[in-house]
Amino acid sequence: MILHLIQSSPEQSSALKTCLRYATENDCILLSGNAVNSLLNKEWVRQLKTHKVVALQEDVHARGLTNLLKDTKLVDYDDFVSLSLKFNKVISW
Amino acid sequence: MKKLCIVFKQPPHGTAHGREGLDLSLLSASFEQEVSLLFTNEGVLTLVKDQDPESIGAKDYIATLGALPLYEIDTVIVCEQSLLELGLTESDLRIGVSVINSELISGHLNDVDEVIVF
Amino acid sequence: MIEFNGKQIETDHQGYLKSVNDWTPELAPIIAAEEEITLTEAHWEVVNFVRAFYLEFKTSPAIRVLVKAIGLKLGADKGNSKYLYTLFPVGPAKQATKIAGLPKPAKCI
Repeated sequence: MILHLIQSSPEQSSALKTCLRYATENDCILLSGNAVNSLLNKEWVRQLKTHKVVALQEDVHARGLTNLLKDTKLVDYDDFVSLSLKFNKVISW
Repeated sequence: MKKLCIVFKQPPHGTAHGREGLDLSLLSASFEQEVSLLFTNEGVLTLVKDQDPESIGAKDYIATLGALPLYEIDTVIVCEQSLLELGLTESDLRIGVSVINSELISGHLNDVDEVIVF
Repeated sequence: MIEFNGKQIETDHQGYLKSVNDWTPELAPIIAAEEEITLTEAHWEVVNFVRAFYLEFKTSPAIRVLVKAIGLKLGADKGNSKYLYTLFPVGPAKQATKIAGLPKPAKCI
């Protein structure tokens, strides 16, 4: 059980791509910063579909994406902390 | 003793990530941590033969890979899929490695105590 | 800064040479004297070893690795920290690399 943290957009870094290669169904992928942008891209959304995905509310809101990302589960910083404790390991990609 | 996996996901040279990852690997190993290395994406290019980084003014940290056995870093994993994407085979690499698939790599990431990505 | 043969050779604040290429074997006894070491054959064996290690791997060996690598190359009677500390009392990795004109190992005792 791993919590995968992605902080940059797939246009900036290979973090999401690499994470998706190794994430398993028991894991959770948390998108923050520019990584939330990947949820606008059909191809990334398709690949993320088979995983448990959450996005940091603050970063989604700041980018004006709240209405566009209605289907995504949003979490706040408190949830982020709880998630970090719940999973055995956190990998910051 | 902790099991530490250090992931190289970026190409060598141009940024300091690879060198920093390797420094951390050697440092951790000299403090008797069980260190494994994973090369994925363009990070696999770190292992390609016949590099000449000094010709572009970059530090030749690639040479340091040869010292891994002396640091008792024996687990060097290369992502099979990444090699395929770049059209490389194991014979293009300068050191002996284990080329394994994503599923086995997932298992390895689960097994170790900490994963640090560069 | 070391003055040698009328040339100024740059060092860092701990006395390590700034450039590996500034080193010549004649410089070794001068750096060693700063460390209060008189170089013998046994010292040279280690100094030459760490320099060769650096030139091959582009990194200075940490003490644990130095002990192991010397053991493989020069035999178990020399590949132990007691022997190396007899030669370089302040720290074999630290002092041998300095005398060999190499950068300080990233983490050494």
